[in-house]
Amino acid sequence: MTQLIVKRLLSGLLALFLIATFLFFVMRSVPGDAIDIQLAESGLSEERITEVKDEMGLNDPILEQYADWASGIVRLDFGDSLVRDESVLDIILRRLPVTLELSFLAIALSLAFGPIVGMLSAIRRGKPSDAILRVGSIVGLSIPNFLVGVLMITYLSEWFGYSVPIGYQEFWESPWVNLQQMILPAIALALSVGAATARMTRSSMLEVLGTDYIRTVRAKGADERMINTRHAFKNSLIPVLTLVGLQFGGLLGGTVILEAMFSLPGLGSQVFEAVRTRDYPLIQAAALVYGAMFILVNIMVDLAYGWIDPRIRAS
Amino acid sequence: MTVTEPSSISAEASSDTIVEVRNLTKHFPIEKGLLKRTVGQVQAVNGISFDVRRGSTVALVGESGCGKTTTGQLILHLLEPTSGTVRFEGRDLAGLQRGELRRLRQRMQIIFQDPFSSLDPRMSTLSIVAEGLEVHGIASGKQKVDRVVELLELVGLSSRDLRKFPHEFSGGQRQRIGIARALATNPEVIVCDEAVSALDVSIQAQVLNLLKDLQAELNLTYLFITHDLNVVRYISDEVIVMYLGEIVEQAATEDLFENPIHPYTRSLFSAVPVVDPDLAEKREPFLASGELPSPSNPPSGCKFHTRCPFSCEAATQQIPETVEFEPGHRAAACPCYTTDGVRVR
Amino acid sequence: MVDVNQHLGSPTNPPSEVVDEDTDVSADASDSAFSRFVGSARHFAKTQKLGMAALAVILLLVLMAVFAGVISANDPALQNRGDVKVGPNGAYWFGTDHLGRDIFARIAYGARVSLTVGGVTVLVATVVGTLVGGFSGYYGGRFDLVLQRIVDAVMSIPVLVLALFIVALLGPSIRNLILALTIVVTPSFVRVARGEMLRIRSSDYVRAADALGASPFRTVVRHGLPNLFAPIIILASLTFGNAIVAEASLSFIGLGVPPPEPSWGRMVSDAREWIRLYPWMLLFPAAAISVSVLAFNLFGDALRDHLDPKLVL
Repeated sequence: MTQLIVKRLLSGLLALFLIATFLFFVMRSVPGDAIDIQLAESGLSEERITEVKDEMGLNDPILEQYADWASGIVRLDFGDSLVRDESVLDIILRRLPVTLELSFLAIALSLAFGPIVGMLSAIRRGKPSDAILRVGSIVGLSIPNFLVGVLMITYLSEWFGYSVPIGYQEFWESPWVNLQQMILPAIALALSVGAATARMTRSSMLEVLGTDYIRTVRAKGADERMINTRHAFKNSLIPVLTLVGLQFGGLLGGTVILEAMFSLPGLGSQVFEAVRTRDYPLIQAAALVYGAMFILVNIMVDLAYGWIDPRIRAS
Repeated sequence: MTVTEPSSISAEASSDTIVEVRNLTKHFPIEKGLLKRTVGQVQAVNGISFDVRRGSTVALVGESGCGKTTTGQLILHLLEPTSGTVRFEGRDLAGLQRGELRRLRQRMQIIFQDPFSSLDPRMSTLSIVAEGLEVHGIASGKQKVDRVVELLELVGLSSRDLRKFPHEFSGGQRQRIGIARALATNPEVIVCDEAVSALDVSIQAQVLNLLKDLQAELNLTYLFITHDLNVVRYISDEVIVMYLGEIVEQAATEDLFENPIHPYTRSLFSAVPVVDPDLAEKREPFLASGELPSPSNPPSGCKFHTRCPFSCEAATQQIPETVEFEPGHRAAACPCYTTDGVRVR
Repeated sequence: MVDVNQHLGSPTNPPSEVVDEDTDVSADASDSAFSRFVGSARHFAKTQKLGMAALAVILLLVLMAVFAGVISANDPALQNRGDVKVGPNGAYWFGTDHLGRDIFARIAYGARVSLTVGGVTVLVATVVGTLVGGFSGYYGGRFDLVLQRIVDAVMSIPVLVLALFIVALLGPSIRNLILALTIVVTPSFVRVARGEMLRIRSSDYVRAADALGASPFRTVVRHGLPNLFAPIIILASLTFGNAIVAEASLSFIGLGVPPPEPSWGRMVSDAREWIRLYPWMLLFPAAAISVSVLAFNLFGDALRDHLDPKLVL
């Protein structure tokens, strides 16, 4: 087990290194270097521009710049923001907790509803309720989450006179206000992940229900509810977990728009702002952090298999 | 009775030998982990030697996992051997340039077991059968179509089938397409890898007859890989029995069926259901016990000792010698008995 | 146990005459790739009702995009100062927006943008991804190992974040949007094509081609790529929907299609301020996005059920 964790962490680190390399070269392969344009538009004097570029090491050969950047990452030094007078690392550390809270709330919500909806759908296979749940989940999968956000903001206040409290409060300052601020974007994000989970649970559970061993359990006279929950449901969760891990990336992407829309001071809204102000080092580092989160979550998913399936734990 | 080393079956292959296999060995590495460390070897084929005479049919029999399919692929050089040589008309296949080998492929072909997975589902009959003609630039255009029609007719199909796709045919018809594909380049040697095992009994007989007729007509040499002794008896001139990657017995078909020597061969024969009640009565009830050992960790000494009813202390240590019991009838001599049938103590 | 088969009843006297054992191949069986396709399509139409409905919606969208100029009387960018925020009526089917632009015209022209972005992205990703993934999977080796790692790495950056990064670097334009989305979605095609090719490579029909002396290149082109068709076409349909979402999302935050080109995502964004009083400004673009994404997802699903029910994408 420990060996497995170490192995997964190592290959995760390799992936991160490749992401960093990829981002670096994407940035440098842009015609008419982005930073040149940025600096030219900044209204700084010619001399100051050269100075800034020297400070940033932009006049060095590209491989040297790459080595600098890569070794910086190893020391968690992502450089300074082009816009704010702050290091990229400080900004990320300040903003990340909000994004983490939001995305894990969204995952929790989708796991609370998706698998159960999928299970009900599978149990009632072919009945009208199955059809409704199936169509419902593919619709949920098809509505972009920014649209869900817009609709929620508008119609909650329109119909119920409810509006989200203004002024972000952290959870330990005021849990109630914080949850109100978090829950709507979390629902918007959870909708598509939950829908995908429901679909996967349904098909994987149908497959399990068709296997010989479930037929054996049924032949032994176990009652249907027990069959469905204890045997079939648990065994259909592995592909669902894999899917959640893969969907986590899309969810992180969604936080960018939804945090901005709901004025949450997370990494997403920071990226949103950084894109507007063309704060490239910040976007670059944020993309790396998102990648790291994605990889970490997928390692956790791998480890969770062991908890669900003892065979994997043993090997 | 002469004792011979396997490598010296015949020091010089005689002139009508078309395929000559010497000490052929294939080990597949078992890789593990991120760095693909080799943690073991699957000893699929372990130093086998035999000759195939032109125009004859040699059957390679044994349980699944005994290495017979690997042997077939090694002979066609579809797999690179770990050691040992395969000579086709005296030329070592491993020593050939890639282009030379490709040209030589015209002359040796293969027919697969599963008529469903061996035909590309997205190709028409015409494209499937014509592939060899195209690859070797043998024919093109109208000539190519004519040749394909000729081949289809040879195997009992017709020009109406040219544009059909594999899923439109039955298993037997698909196998005929596979045979036509193999015949397209006018090969001399054909490896039939369980070529009829997947077919229904009545269709097996038809395909076997087709193969026999084609052999007579085109002077083909067959290496017939199968686990079905009835098929062996019907089609082959010579039989090679394999167990865990090694040859345990080798003889002309009649000799082998009349007088099987090796305990493994005898256990194979006793497992064949027979319809004839007289024959069934005469037969010794004799079965190998237990499971086939893993080829990655084969037993010591005589590899069959873990399942052999005659097993003795000597068999666990002593690697059996190959003995020519009668002219042309070789077998791994049981370490528990002398060649005269006296039990070793 | 010794697994010797007993298939042949009386092996020594099989019927001596070779007869055509199967005569049930129906006379009307298709005899060309085209009629085979027609047969498959007919079966699809019969069994996948929802998929057919989705296909109809997609065709409708395509027609709308192609004939945007014909079906809408007004210029989508024209600002009719006299007709600002008019509700749906005979002249303006879907009403007008805060600048007096015809929403129906903007939806129709927006379809052109959405389908162009989605279509070009999916086309390029399909061709590049299939070729790269297919060849890499077949040849294996060091290149394949490295490629696999890169694909894993790129796929762990959230799609929207990576697209944002690239568009932010290049500046918003339709061409850059397509470029960004193509970079973002191609890895999944590479992964699927590679995985399928590994399966195909170990099949007997590829071994038969090897035995015939076909070159690896020929084998990939003749046997490999055509057999990648099913999973790739399913992935393409699902990706098309995702590309429309991504385009709308980026346009929504002002980094997608630059004005004056109409885009559904931007229309939603424009509508936010006016939504309370003029809900049609939101309703139509929101419906356009959702319905077209739904159509591509449903069609992709139906294709999967039809072609390869076991496929997990």
